[in-house]
Amino acid sequence: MSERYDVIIVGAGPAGLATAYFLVKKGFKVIVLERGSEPGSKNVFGGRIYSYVLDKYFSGWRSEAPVERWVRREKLSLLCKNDVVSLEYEIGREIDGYDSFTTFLSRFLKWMALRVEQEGAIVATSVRVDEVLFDDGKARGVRVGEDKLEAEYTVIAEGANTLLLEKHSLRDKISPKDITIGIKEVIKLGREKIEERFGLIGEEGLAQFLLSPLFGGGFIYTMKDYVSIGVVYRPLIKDQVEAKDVIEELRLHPSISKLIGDGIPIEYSAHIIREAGYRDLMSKPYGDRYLVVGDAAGLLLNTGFTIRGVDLAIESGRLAGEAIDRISKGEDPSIYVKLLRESEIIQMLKKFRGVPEVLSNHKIYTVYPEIACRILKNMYSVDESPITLRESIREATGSRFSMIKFILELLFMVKNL
Amino acid sequence: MKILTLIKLTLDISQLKYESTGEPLTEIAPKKMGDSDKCAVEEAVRLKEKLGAYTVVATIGSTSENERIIRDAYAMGIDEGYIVKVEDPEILQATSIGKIVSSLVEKTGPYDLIILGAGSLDTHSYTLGSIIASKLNIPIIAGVDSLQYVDGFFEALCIMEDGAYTFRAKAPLVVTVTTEANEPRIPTLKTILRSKKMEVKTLTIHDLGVDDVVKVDLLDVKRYVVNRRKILWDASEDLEKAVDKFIEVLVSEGVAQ
Amino acid sequence: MKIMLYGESIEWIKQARTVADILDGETIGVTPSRELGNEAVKILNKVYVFDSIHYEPNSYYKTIYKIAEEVKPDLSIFPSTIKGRTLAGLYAGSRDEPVITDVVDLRYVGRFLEVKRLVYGGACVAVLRASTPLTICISQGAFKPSEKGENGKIEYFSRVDEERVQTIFKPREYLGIPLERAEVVVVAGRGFKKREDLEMVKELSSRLDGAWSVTRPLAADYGWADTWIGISGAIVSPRLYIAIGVSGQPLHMIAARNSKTIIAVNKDPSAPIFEEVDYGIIGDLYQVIPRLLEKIKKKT
Repeated sequence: MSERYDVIIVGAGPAGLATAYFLVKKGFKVIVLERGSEPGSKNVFGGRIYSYVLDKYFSGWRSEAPVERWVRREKLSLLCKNDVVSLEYEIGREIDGYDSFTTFLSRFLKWMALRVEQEGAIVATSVRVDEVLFDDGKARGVRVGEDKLEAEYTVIAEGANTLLLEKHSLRDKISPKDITIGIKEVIKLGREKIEERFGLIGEEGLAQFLLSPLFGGGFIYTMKDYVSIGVVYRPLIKDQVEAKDVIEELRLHPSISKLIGDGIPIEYSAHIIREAGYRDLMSKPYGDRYLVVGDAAGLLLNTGFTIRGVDLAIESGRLAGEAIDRISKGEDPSIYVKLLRESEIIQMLKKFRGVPEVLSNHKIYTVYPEIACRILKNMYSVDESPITLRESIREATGSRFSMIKFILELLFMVKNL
Repeated sequence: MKILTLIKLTLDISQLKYESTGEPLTEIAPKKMGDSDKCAVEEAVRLKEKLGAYTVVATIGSTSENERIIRDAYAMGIDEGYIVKVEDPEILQATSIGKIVSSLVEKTGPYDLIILGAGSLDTHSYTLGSIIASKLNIPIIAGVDSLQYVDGFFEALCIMEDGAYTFRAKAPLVVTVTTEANEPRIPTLKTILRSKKMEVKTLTIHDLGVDDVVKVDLLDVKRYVVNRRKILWDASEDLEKAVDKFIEVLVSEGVAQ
Repeated sequence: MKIMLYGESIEWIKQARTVADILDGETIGVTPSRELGNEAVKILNKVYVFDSIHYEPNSYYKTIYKIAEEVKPDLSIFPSTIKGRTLAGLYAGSRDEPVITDVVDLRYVGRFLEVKRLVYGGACVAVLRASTPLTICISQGAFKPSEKGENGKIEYFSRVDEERVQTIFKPREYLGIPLERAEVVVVAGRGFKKREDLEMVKELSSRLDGAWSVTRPLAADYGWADTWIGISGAIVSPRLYIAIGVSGQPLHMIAARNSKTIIAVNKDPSAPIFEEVDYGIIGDLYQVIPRLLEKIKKKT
């Protein structure tokens, strides 16, 4: 094929599109190839994006990006069989805008793709890349069916399903113990019911994290007319319900079902999540004339409740863009890793590196909700002999137990989610 | 030879969801080029490859998804495309669509062949092709399962309830094809890239000299509720009982002793 | 009110007459068959018969259009078959009047007609307001046959030729009872694994003096039969519809929905067909049908 590009990006997810955005702004001729029929059609995503990264790079995004609701209420709930213990934080009014918002990733990515195309890159959908063309270890483009497309640089942004990387033995197949499944359902409830039941006004939104021995960690995000509920499903937790029933289990919980029980499920999706976090990071996410970005390189933050990826993906796209720019000017490809190391992303992944281990010890799901519910149940049960907080805790845990420590530990878990 | 293919953005009805009141949630249903429209595009592109025809595609609508299906048609090999901008085209009277199309034909034609899918998946009226033919006063061959071009004639096989019809006609002609007509090609990278660079022309109905469109006076749309008895027996639990119940039904309906 | 209807079968004409009864209209029939004309004249006020060797839409519609110029109908009715829809589109387009297909009910509300039609492949019913003159298509079985009789007149009309189109017709060879007239229809769906297994369906239908058919994939994709039941194939309304291994997609069900009683066998309890049945057997057809045939044989 006669057409030649400076950079081919495989995958129009957040990382791929961000890489394209930063590169095209630097004057590179860029093409993004996406196997889905639209950008974002293969993504499953909880529904919250942090504003800071958009503020930094996408001028005017607040008025044009497809925001559903601005998150003003943050809630953490521990679900027992019937009871719930919740901790809620309501953010005061912000003048410069809120720190995060809910959105449908598919719509958000369509908007990002539009911005990328406005800058002059091409985003081609329904294109399945079969392989990266290597010449003596040097990437020189991709093959799509019968067609070959050449470029100076190839960026692999294929997401968690690392088919290309595995095909070229650049990355091992992930071990089942490092896989979790993100399962999400979108429920139509209507604006009025959402605002009434979740206590929201106008464009305000709620982000809720859930912990339960039944399904592990989960989330609820409010959209304008829809509620997005999901679970980060860990197949290894014992006695857990099956993946296909897990959302049903969540929906039927008394505290959830009264909120969304009469809603209409309109979309169900499930997706693999690489959960190993920092451990899963590719040690060498680059090679001769190619880079790996986003999820594919392990650059996403699975916090246990939800997958924080979009802001990190955009940031990693920016770094990949900068790396390619500098490599093209003669710097060594290892500059990419250097840039990553110096960046916030790696710092954050490092900070959360213990999370997968903490999560896989399951105490957080199995023990904490029960303890919390028992403590509060004891405290609030009124009978002839009133009980003190200390007694209540002792009765619930059978031991010395620090309520403060307990709460702090939980908050640590959900911090930065 | 110049060919006009008409395509429609249709709901994927297999994924239609409903409000608790029974109203279909059409705004969130996935939309795509109609299956038989895709066969019409394929048929046009085959005629282009065989006879060097020039191919034009058109759709009516106002969303970015209309542009997407025009590009999908480009990626299959169509040469030129138009979007006629009309809000909510799905509630236009078919006769209004007929008028828009005949004006489009006058403006961008003449065409030897106007080809479209026999019926869209959503309303499935099977009438648009014939309305267009009547407006343009040219013949139609509708519901074509196989189309050939032989010695200056279009030759079309249509399988119908009572048998197989073969119609032969010269251009100009309207043809509607069923999904039997062909297996639409899957675009290649090369054609997708080409499609991204091609211009999609837009027209308003005023550009076409159509001053007014008539909308369907739609009062209500609800899920079709079937009032049937829905008595179920589980044969995997008790085969004999289920089969006996089946026979009871046959007897009570008077079709078995 | 003058109602003109173009019919190809007496069963359908009787049902279309019901529409005329609802609207209290005068009925004028049009048909390309002398034989049918002779029958129709006992049901309708007047019947125009035009001679034709076989169907060709372009000449047919011009003929019907010319008859309409004489009749000046307020409402024109065609069958919701592929032929009927094609003719209705041509006819309504040339008369510049609206056309509504898949009509299942209609009535007068004030000066307007309130028309119910199926949309989204039969998954939904839409209610529309329309005024005359109007063309509609009604499905076989959507209305009960009228029992009213008339002593109408026949008028022979000459067909308008369409020289631009040549037609060759190969009639289908019917083996047994035609689907549209059968009291019992047994239909096989994708639950069948091999073509040979359709013998079970054939045997069951012949034991019940019925006809058999398949769903679209079995005919169109696998080539196991020439026709199918579905919106793009045959539309049936038998007394008993037996669906075996049929999932119940809307485009299939719309063509069988007017059956009096529906019974289905399917191993998937969540198959949509179980929403539309009177009786359902949840079970493997390869167990249920052989056992059923055995028992029926034993009885007779």
